[in-house]
Amino acid sequence: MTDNVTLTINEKEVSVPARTLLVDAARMAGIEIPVFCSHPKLDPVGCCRMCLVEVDGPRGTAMMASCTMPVGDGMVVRTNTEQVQTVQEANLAFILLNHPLDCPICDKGGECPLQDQTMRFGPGISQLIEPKRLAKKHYDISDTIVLDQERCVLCWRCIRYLEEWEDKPQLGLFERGNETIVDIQDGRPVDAKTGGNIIDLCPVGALTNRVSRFAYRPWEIERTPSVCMHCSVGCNVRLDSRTHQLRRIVGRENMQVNDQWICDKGRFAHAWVNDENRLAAPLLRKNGKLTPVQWNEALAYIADRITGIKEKYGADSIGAIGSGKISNESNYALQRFMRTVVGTNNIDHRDGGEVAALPTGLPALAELMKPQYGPDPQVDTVLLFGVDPSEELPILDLHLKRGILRGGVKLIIAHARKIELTRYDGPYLAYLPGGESLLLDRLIQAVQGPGMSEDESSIQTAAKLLKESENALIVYGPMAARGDDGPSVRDGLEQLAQAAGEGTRLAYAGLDGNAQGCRDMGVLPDRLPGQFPLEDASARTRLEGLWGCSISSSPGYTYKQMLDSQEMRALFVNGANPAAESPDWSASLEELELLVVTDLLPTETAQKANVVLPALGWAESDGTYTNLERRVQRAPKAVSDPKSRAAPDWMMLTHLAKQMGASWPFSDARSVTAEIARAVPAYAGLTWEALGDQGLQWDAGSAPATESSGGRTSERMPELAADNAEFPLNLVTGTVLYDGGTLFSLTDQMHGMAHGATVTLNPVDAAEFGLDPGSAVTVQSEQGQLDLTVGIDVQVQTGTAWIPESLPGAPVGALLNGSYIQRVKVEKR
Amino acid sequence: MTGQEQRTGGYTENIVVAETDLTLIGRFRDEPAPLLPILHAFHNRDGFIGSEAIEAIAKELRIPLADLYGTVTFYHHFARAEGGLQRPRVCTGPVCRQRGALEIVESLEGAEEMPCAGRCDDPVPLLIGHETFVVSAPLHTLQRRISSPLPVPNPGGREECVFAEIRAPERDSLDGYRRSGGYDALTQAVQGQSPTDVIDVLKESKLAGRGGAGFPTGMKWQFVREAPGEPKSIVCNADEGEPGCFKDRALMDHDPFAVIEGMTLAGYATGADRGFLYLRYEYPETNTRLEEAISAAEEAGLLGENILGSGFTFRLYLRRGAGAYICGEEGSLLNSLEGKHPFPRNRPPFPTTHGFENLPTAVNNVETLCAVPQILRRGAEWYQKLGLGDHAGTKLISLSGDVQRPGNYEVPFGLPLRTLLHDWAGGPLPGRSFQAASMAGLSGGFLASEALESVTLDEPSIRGAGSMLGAGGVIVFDDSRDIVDAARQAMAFFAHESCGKCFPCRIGTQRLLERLSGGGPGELDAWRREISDIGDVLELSACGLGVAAGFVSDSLLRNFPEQVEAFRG
Repeated sequence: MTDNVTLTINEKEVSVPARTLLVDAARMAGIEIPVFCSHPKLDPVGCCRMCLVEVDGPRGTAMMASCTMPVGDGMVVRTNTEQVQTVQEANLAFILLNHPLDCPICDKGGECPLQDQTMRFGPGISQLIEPKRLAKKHYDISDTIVLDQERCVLCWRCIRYLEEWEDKPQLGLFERGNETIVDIQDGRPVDAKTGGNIIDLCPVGALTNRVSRFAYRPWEIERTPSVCMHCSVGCNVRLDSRTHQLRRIVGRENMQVNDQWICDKGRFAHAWVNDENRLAAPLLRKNGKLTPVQWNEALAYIADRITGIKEKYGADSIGAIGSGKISNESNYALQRFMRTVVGTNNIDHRDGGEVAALPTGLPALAELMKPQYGPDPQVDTVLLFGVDPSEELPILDLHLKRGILRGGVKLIIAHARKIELTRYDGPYLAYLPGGESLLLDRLIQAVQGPGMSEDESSIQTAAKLLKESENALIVYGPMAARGDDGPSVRDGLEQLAQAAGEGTRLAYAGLDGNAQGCRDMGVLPDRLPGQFPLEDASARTRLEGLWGCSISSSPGYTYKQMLDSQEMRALFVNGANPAAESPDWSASLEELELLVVTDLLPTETAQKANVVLPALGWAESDGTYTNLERRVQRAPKAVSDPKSRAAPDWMMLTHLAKQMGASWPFSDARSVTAEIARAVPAYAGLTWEALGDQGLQWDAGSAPATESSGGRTSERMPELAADNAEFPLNLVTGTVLYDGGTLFSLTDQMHGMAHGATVTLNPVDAAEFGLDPGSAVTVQSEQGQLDLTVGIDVQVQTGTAWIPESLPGAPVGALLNGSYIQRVKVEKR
Repeated sequence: MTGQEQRTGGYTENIVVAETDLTLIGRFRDEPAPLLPILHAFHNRDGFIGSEAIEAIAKELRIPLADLYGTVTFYHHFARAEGGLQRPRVCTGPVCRQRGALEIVESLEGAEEMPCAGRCDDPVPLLIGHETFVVSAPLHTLQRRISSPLPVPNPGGREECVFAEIRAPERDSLDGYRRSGGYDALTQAVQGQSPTDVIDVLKESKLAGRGGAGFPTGMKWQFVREAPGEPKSIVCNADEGEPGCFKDRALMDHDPFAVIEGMTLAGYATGADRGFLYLRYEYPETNTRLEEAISAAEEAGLLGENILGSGFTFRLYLRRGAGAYICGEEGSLLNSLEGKHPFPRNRPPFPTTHGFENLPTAVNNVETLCAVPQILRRGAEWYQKLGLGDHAGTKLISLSGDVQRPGNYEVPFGLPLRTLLHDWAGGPLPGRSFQAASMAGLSGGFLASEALESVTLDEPSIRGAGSMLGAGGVIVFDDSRDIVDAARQAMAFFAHESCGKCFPCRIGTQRLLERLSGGGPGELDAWRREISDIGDVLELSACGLGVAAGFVSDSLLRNFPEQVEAFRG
């Protein structure tokens, strides 16, 4: 129980928890105290002195900074006296003296605390007339943030955010006194992944958004609450639009998900929404050329061809690829179409059936969060297994850092790369791709081994941390549990969680924005909506009743199988781009009799299609998305392009189903959500109203139990040949936040941030092969080759070559060609 | 905006640190408070602090680059351009300006101004590298200065405390110190007194902080003793940055072991096992002397483990500042020691519970600590009775400016200021009369000649006259001086030294400087009103610096209306 303290503010008795700051206590009592430096999510500094109030003390009444003063029992405070007002006016007069007052051309104008406070608490007229302080005007401190030092009032909220949350103080206070400035050091940009939050925090227009610069006036925009789609954290955002254009994205508070922070990709990388190359009409290949047609023609063509192919080759010659980047409604409609209209379970998505996942995601993000005022995280130890939150899930990265720095969370990292979070000195367990199981064996052994060990190795330290923990969480990602070895890794992780003791939980985190929802919707070859196995007769019966037809119980092809198989004749691809992933797949897509691609942009896969259907994106259509802690959240329609004929996926599929003789009860997105709530027991009751603007977690108890593959065989994949003279390096790949994907690369301002087309090596290997940073090289595997330049980083393990996925113009798929593990050699070009 | 190669991702892991740099850093990295000595080591070796040095230190001490760069730029003595350490820096403090410091700056090639270097009882000092020279205008030969002038025997014949043995032969050597009663107090304490006994004696003696704040020393030590958390620390504030204050330098130059013994006793009384002596940059020779004294005490078993065979351990670390007046403020000083940006801290919490590294810490002034061994040797009652009337104890006054015999004087609290000025220090220079004196160095503002005749040297009396005694610096201005210009210089000092953290001080000192330099409204009443308004805002500053700046301008308006009228006329 928290102790409460009772004090008097402006003659009003107020009771608040002990240790509350005076400024917050006043806010709770509905009394506004003006502030600049103080912020409810940052440590107090007490530098602006705007919040001074009268406090009666033993030595008389004193002016105290209410932002640094904790409440005391019986304290008597006044915020409305003449003296307080004089101080506020004088302080504002001081600030305005140096402020350029260029409000008409300032992006902050209209939503500026300095403007608002001047209006409410300012002196009206200032006697002081001075030359303004001159300083460096608008210049870039990163590709996305512009700093104007003349507008800066030196509240250092930006510095504190980067220090207290990001743990990357890339902005500093330099010089002293009147010369004091906020700046980056020696031209090193603010490249913290969530650095853009300092724009929201800035109480003046000193920090502005370079991507949205001069693109809006705050009073003209329409604000739509939404969720971000760039990764599976599902941060709450607000989409600001005007004249059918998405102008800006800002963070929105959700204390269960993202506090109020969002990452820079989520904030800035939205140019694709209004990109001029967006698909705006259905395209049908005529005489070898994709030609705009009416919807009727396109859908009739597809219906006709699908019917023909099904008759000729059978339903199982047709497949569909869904996507973790599109809504529950789109994914649900796609799998329903395949299972009921086509009659096959050939439905999957990337990171779907090929990954040995678990059904329920993280227990809850809130268990990992350490808000400014609130208890420590419930989880005391986190083992990240093959996940790199800094590149894959930036706000989870933020929560973890905060938990480590302020909440006593211990971190263990198992990864093929020495990822950024290893800087916290937790045990780092390195493995080579394919060596996950082997590492798990050793870790399980260490956990089960005798308590006291002289061995100080990372494995022993990690085992000790897991054993000592009362509430550990093991998180693994798709990279660690793919392909044939996937189930064995998952089983190993389960065994590890069991061995570590009762408080240890295991969770799978998908990476795409709707990775969880995609699984929940049954976009899997062996699982129905609700993630029920195909062989679960009662689940099948229930859905057959709902859909009014029978469902095949034979498992379909996985994503990889569909693309590898020679038997596929027709393929639907919704929001995926397999052609860019592998040269073989690119070729096999051309062999299909029918390829229907539904997408936002003319992707490499779309270029090969017989029919291309223009889809509405997340900002343009109503939809729900399920984040990595299975929180279902709404993203309402925020913008629309009146010139576009694009449609939401569920609507296209409804019409297509009708063409093929099925009648679906979908009139709008809401009616699809309503059916999902019936088809997926865990989603029961999750109506739009119930979801509200903060979403709801579905009950993990209603998920089907996972079948473990039973006893793990000790048979392992053969260890990778340690000495392979021809291909001496193990290829390590994975997601980076700033890759070459279209959702990122269409934002011109961010081009400089994109990961270069590089292969990164440990300095030891680089020296051995005589390579310098920037050397032009060819990387070769047995599957193919890729031209790249060399980067050198001690964070890369020796004996490995790190090449991220989706580099601009350099698909690592050329080396992998659909496989997960390859060895490579790097030679100078 | 930048290429991929410049993106650090927050890492310094890929920075390659040269072997020689590693050695330099390695000398201090395992000590507490390592940043300042490491920065000095690079500064001394290279003659400036370059970006490679910053990168190396940032990587090895795991300090973010922007933080470290900001910290380095905060200190005005850290040169950032090659050869900077060797540039002559001439003191242009208020007393040196009376003696032609500006002319010296002009006549000396490449010379720069520096704020008061604490040698107001000597000719104008200048620093080249780590050597202090003094020079008189017009420029003749530079004369090397190793030590401060020794305080003259008390002209009033009053019994002294901290100066009682300072003139004893070889007092600055360990032998000489012990011969004149040094280390008697420590021996007596560790052998026969409990820590609380020591605290009780100090409480009874009514010894209070001599740095200016006047907080009872015994009570402070008791707070530290009772505060939870370990290790505890003693910090000696020897960042004597106040213009016109030079008493601590005299104590450390001539009686270095007294400070060390005082700190050791503080450690014994509070339960602290480490101490930091934070010395201002401008005293390089004192730094050497203290280094030698600390080594001598360590060798003699008077510092370190098992002191005097008692099982009591106390390690002392000498830390040198780098030019920042604000570091005399205890929060800034602690931040500076910790290697952080030296901004003042918010209070509460206080250092007694959340000091160095957020652990219980006693921060005491040099003079306070020097008084402790004497009080323990001679008793609380002896000390109390040194004061006049109801006042307990003594205070060092650094007297400088237009007076016959400037210097450090130990006065009993309650001594009339005129006695000090006229009887002890010989009165005004021939043919001159006193116009004003600044109190508390500059921080107390200016008293006019009438007040100089009436006040006594104790806080209540001087506060009654609208000023404060503070650390005890008194600068005298005779009738030949332009008092408005003196106020302008004082304001220039405060504006230069304002740390930049809180808005009122950062903006207000600058605005007052502009007005005292001739800016502001032409009409006298409007000008006065603005000065007074800005002074009111300055009172809201987060620490004493801004408040003091307001004292200066207010005292000018209040006490020198005619001079002000003449200035605006």
